[in-house]
Amino acid sequence: MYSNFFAKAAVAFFLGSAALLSAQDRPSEYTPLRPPGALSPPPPGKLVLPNHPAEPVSSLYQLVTMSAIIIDGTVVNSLPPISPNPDSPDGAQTAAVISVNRTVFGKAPASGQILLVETGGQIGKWQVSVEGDSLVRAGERYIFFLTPAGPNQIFAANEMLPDPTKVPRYSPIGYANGKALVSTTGGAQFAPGAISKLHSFDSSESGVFLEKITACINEVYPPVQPYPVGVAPLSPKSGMDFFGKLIPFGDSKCGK
Amino acid sequence: MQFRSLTGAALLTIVSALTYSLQAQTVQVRNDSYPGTALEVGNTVGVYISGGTYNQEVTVVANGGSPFVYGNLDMTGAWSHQSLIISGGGTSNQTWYLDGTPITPNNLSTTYFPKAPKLPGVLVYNNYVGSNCPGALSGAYCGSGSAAHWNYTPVAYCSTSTLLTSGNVNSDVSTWNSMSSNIQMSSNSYCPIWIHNGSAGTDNGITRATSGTCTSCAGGYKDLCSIVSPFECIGGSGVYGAEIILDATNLAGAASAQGVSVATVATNTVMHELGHALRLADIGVGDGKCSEVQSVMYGSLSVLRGCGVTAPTSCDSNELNVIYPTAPATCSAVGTNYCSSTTC
Repeated sequence: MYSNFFAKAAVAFFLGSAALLSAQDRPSEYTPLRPPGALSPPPPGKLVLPNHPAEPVSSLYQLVTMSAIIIDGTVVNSLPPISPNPDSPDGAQTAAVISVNRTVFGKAPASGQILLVETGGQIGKWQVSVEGDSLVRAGERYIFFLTPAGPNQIFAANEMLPDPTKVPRYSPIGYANGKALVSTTGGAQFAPGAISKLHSFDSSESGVFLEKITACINEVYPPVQPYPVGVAPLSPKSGMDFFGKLIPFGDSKCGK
Repeated sequence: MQFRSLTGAALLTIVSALTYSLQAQTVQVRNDSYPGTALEVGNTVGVYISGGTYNQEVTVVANGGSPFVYGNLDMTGAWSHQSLIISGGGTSNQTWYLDGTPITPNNLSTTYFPKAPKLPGVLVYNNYVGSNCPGALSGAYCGSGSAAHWNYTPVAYCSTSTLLTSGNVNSDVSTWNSMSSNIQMSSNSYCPIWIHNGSAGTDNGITRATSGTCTSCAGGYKDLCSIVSPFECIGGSGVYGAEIILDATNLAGAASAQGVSVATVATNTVMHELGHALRLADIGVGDGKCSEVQSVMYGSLSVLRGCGVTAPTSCDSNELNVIYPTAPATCSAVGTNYCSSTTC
């Protein structure tokens, strides 16, 4: 019965919460959804996953807040993609070794390298990617906003990969939001899938962008002030006195 | 005896010190009106200090001003304070002290509650003004070009997910069915809307829908309800399948952070994803304050739950009626030849 369907399906394509396959990537055939209990491998070809994290980034401020480390790094090499099920592209991940050029925030490992774990990669007959994002490639330089690779990362048992105690594993925050490519001319550029507030930093000279990030970090994590000695303490007159006079968002260095 | 000269307060201090000396002194700022969401005007903010010793003096310095003395720790070495937010649009950089020593902030997880207030820089927002409702994923009902909608109703659904019960799913579907009489879902083992476990990347759940243009049966719909192939050609520009993929690992993490069962967050997620299956789009996440959250299609689980929006609203109902201004053709029963009825 499915073959009958194939004959009729001249053009079929996936849509997700956003489009999963662009027009030029449409396969000529589509395997219909399986009955309950079966796997549902999509048709061969390109499969674009929605850029749809559970807790999305909404500003540079948010990006910095959610980052465990922020680094300027260069891609040393990419490793073969892995999928939990070779017969399905679901859960495809690709790892790349990143050499840390500079740590902007957090603590980089003594090895000077991290392993970047990203969603996507070539798994058998499927080329999996995330909408508006692309995997890093050897030689590219990025400014990365990273969170420890979550429990979904599937490389734990792979002995071919670097020792995670020496080369810890991280993932970009919010897919395309978590990395800005530094071009050969020095400009920083977020991928199309990043939010518009981050694209306002596109084409910034990387040094300028890093200064903005540092200013933002200082805003998110202002230094702890010692108790002001010699200043007469006050009794609060209203319940909200502990907020002081708010610093307007318009004065923010990182967009709130 | 030297003990006889001690006051009750001093004894309490000793007891408190012995009891709590091993605890870290921490301070947390919370949105007590809508836990885990951003602070905005009209919310109640709470400050919670713990791990200190009896009678320690609580002070705070905000944005470099003079210290305010707010009181003293109680017998358990704790202190709290609540206040109504009356103004917003800025940041308050706060350092809290116990007897002049800064207290370590104990913020909620930025992974699971990225919009919740955090020390030292506490963001306070003004209220969102206007409507913030979802649009359609693409195209228009009965339009040409990209697929946007189902061409028939009711659309059958089923679940093989182990993360929630059939009762949970049926409840979600029932709620959506009450939103618009023009598009309905019904349970069936042959199901164009299929809910199951899988990998959703960094998301708790994703929906991937399938559409197609079936040139060989142009001008009609063919055997859509046939039991032999429920996904047969539907002609034109309709959606003919939607998979809702629930990520067990991510949902387990979210459930743990929220302090609820996996089934609860899975049910919340399915409610949102069913909106996608019906072709509603996400609402982008802004500040993460509840005045922004007017639809179950808002894109943050923590904010949706914190704001108590776990079911579709009139916002969602209105957009459904835009996508489906009238009921598509009725697919009355499995086995019925759908080609006998056309709509667009």
